[in-house]
Amino acid sequence: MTEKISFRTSKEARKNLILSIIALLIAIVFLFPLYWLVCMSFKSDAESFGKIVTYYPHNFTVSPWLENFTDKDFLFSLRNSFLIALIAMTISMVFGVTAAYGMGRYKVPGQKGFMLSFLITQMLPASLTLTPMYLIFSRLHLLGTYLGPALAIASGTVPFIVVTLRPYFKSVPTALDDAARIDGCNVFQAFFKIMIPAIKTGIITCLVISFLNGWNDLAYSMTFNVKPEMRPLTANIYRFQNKYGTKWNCIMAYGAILAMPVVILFVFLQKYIVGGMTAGAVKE
Amino acid sequence: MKKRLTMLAVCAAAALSMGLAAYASEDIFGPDNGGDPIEIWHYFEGEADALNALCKDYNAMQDEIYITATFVSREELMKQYTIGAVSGELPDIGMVDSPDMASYISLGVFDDITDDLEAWGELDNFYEGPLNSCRDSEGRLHGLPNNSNCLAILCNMDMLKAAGIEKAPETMEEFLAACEATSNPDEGVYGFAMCAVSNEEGTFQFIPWLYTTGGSVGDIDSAESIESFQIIGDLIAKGWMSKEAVNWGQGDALNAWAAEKAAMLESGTWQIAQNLDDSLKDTITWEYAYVPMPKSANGAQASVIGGENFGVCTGASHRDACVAFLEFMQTAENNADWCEKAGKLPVRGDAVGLKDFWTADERYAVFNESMNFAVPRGPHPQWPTISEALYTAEQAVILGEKDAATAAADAAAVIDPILAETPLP
Amino acid sequence: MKIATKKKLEGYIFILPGFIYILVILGYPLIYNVVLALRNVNVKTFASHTDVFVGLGNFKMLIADPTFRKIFRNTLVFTFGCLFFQFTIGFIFALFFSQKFSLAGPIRGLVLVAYMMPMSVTALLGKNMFDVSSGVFNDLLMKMHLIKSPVEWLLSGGTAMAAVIFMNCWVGIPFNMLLLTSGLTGISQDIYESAEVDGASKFQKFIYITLPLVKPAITAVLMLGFIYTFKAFDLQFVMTSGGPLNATDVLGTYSYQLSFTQYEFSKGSASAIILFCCLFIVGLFYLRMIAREDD
Repeated sequence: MTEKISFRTSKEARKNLILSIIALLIAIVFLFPLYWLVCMSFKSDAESFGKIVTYYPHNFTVSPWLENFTDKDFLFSLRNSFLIALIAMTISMVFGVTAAYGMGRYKVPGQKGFMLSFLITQMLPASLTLTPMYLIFSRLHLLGTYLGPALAIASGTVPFIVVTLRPYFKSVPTALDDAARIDGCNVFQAFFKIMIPAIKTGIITCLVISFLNGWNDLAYSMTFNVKPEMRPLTANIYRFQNKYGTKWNCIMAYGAILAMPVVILFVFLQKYIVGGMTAGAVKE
Repeated sequence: MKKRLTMLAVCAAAALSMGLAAYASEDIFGPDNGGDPIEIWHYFEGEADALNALCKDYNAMQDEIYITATFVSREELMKQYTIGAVSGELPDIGMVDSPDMASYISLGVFDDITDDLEAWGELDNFYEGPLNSCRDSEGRLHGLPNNSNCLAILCNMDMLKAAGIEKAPETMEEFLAACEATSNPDEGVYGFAMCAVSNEEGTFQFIPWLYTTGGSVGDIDSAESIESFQIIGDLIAKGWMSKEAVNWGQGDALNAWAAEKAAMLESGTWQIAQNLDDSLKDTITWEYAYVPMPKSANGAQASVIGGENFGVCTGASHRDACVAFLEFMQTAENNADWCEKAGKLPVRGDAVGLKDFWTADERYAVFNESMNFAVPRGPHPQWPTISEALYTAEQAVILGEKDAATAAADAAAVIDPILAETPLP
Repeated sequence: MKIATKKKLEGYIFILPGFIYILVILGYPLIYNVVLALRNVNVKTFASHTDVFVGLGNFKMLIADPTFRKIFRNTLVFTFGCLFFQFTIGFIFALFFSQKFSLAGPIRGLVLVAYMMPMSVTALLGKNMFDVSSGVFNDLLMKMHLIKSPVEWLLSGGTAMAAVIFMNCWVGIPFNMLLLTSGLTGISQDIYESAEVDGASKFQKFIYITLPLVKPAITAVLMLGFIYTFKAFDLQFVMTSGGPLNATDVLGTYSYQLSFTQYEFSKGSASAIILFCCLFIVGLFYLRMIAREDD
């Protein structure tokens, strides 16, 4: 995962040590809320809302986790979360990357208008797009499907991709695709074979973010899918906040469960997301 | 890279195939009876099994319709009705919190089923309060009440006794004395806990105090109404109640009581069956007792009526069959059974005699008695706005942003114009 | 066909699918809300269809309403508070982790995990940690003897806003770091080396090389950050419900409340349109900036 660093002098080794210690301190402060999430998720009901704050679970229990896992709709929710996120990601990437490429590499009349549209359309708060979108999906018979929420989620991600990838596409030297054209590639071949690999870092960042947008979505999936067998994991959030009071341990376990697949995915792809920090290391 | 991606794809595929078993609605709602599907939306949590069983029974009894019930959390359900009012995509039968019903009737969510219910001939057995919450401004019925509940004071007797108080408080004077004796704010222990959160639950818990002092929603800036705000404000000022009440839902306030952060709690009927006898059974190691809301100096006493209603939604398929199901659900026997399972109070007088726990269990007896002086909220189509003005005023007093008189005057500025146009019944 | 025309055509082929998709999915909601904002649809007029055209009446009413003004102010405080902290710290982190040292990669990765949490869970976590009596922050501060008695974080306006900004930054910092890191990646090491040969100090290298080269990424991240924080909803909705007494209510939560709990559909749309107009102006500003960069 990390590239091998060799130190030529003891001065460099010392610098490495100091920087690493600072980084560790940052991590401790920054990750404390995450520790807290996991710590709370293993506390008993009484301990989690007790008078005394405990810094590790004194009465260690896995029942909050079990309560989430044994929920009869859990597996359905897991599948739904994956499907909604994957579909949303696909739609976002197909429309987003192409548009970003068009906006970054071509000068067409009305470009400013396009850019403005991409920017402003994501400016309506989700709460206000719910009803009109519901009307559209009702007309298109997309209520109670995965496509409905996925289309809604992607509509917020596409502009994001356009804004973030446009500068990337701009920064690729024109010589690169000119060369491809001379080699006989058509526009689309050049796009797929030359441009996309050239901005791999940006593409993977967008892949992850568009997947996350789908995975973490709450409002759209819940509003457009009422059936329990169609709802994603996030829809469970309100179940632990009701007449029983806020069940902190269950909520925290739920948060940890939601974060887990994403963290795993992230660990696998980390190198590509934040990798290639120095110019020389970009080559894989 | 490729290898890793393949692995990821395999993991994802495995995760997907795990969930691919058919959704097991037959186990819950009984075998397919060949009837057309009918959908109920509800936010019952602890009561869901009882409702599902009722659907299952009904599905076995007839074959015109096949009923399934879907849980939708309360916030989400309200949103679905609102969007449904616009789009027409509604369930066949819907459940709603009683004070919200008038708004949804006004938005056209629930159908007028007065004639069908009158033909049924059992309406006389229903209590007026709950039944009225299903009526529109012209008195037409749009549903049937399902259950009632109200509020009373739950006391941690061990804490009271440790503070030298032997008897659970009955009058306002005794209540305040008990608050003083049990409070120790430096230790994070308070005499009293309630929910004053910024939603309907907050209003629900405030109403008893408002009517105990002789105040009312229609006269929110009267001296009596101001006194009720003053009582709440004093509880805070004297360190007898935590300001955190403004962030506590009713369940959170109960948890604070269960963590011994408060000696007394404003508690609802449902908390006996769903919490005290269930989720908190092992937590509560002390003696506790219920008493009705405290009596004021002039003998006035008040609680508040809560409960859920069911209605047939506009555009429901098999409207008549849906009404028949509501009637089945609310027969005296079924209502009594239901309330026993869910720990609630029946909505019809002839159901009370069928079970004895409302009188035999002294905890329920307190609530049963409190129903005699419990007041309804609304019904009013703009109740949500009225309610917001009420809990906002209460919160302003609790947080010390306004004194009782100013808060009451500000609430009146919102409420009075609304009531001038459409008065409360 | 002329080459220029062909080029334009190619450009449209790439741009139009995304554009049309956005137009269909989001154009309609925009029109829907504009129409609604100009009428008086609410719980009284909805079912009977007795709503009428009121022009800018809803807007005038909102602007005259002290609650709305307070909420507008809150939105600005929240947005600029978040932008300032998450951008500054995010940038420092991006620079810090772009140095070569053993733990740079793994810890940068860990920090990013905060960004992956669903906002609703982050909000609940915030509600729990900032709790007055059983919150871990108060407990920690007391143990460190920084405070004598618990701070009433979510019970008074100023501290509640600070707490909400804090939680938003927890998510926003990794987000800023991620996008800025991507921008820093693009800078060739050769430029720094040649600057070093010329005797440039670290500070000079940052001002004259790093900043100009990551400027496109900076404008993008500020622009996106502005949009996402200005229309924030989940965080306040779950963590504070906009309380105490509207102190953390922002335009996003307020318009939701108007539409879905007060059934004031037209007023809700009007407040959303106001939100939209603010973002529109910022969007125009951004366009001018990138147009200048393009030249």
